[in-house]
Amino acid sequence: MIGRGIQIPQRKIFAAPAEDLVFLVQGQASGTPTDGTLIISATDDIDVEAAGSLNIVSVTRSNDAGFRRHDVVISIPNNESGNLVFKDKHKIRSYGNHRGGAAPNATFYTGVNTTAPILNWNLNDIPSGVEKIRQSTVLSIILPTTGNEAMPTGLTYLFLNGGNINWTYTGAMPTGLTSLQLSGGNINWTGTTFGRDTAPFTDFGTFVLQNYRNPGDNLTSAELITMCQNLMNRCGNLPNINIREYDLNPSIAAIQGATPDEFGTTEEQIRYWIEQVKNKAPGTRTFTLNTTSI
Amino acid sequence: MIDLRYKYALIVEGNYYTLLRDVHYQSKDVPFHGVGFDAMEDTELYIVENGLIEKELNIKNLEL
Repeated sequence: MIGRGIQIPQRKIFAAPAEDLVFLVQGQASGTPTDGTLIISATDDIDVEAAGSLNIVSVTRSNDAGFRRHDVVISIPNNESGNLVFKDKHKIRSYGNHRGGAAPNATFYTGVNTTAPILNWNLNDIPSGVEKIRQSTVLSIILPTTGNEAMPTGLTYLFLNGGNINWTYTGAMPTGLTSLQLSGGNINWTGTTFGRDTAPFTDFGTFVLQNYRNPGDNLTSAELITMCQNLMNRCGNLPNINIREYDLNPSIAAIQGATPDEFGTTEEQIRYWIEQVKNKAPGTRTFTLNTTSI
Repeated sequence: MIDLRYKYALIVEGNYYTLLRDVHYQSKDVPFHGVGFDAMEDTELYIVENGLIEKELNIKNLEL
């Protein structure tokens, strides 16, 4: 005898919907248009589509330390616009190439400033899975960049260098960041917090803040001390430290001449914390403030 | 539509070379600007990857 079983409803399995990452691309006003090249790396091959007047000249996918690098060459006629669309944006892991445990060496977007497609880049729209961002070339016309929000929480590498990168953020850097370089004419990052304060131990590989504050919003002595304290809170080793745009109050000379004292005058406190950072493991690093080695 | 797949491809850009692996190239009308190949044997060649000599590879049937 066959008993009556319980009928289990068949479960339907839905694939996660593909999410698009969309860049608005505009043509230049005049001149002979040239191509632009955008590079991202992802966990897998992803589709790239064009809309409007944008033309995808070519897409080259290749291996990138376990990821798939996408070199996308685009063009667009003068005075026209279109969209560049990356499908499955949750698969994207880097803007520029990734290189796994090594630092990226290919920048996110390149082209001739006055003739390449104008790529509008919103830093508030970076997919949450992105781990590295490298934009290392000054592209003041073809890469208008805006944003005022935090970077993805899993970010380990951030290199922003450009005359038209408008990133005005006041909060903390992602806690897993291990390489930080900011050098942009319109970057105004006024935060002072970065890096891990708990295990796992991760060394900071690069730390360069040289063009990260707008005029009139320079780094104060209190913020400098907080930065040093936050560097000391990291578990791993520190690299050479290079910080500019300090507001010179107290002066560099006063800091250099001060006796380190955690509870002394402002210059003595700054000197104390700089010495702490220099002596933190591996203990052989330099601390450069406004181009002067302290 | 151009749709090419290579196990390896050598891209020449200016004065330096880049070796790409498991390459998939797609374009409507622009030819692939590198050299694609699928085996690396027999012929010794230094590959310069992004300006740095990375390793010595053996490439078979490579026509530069």
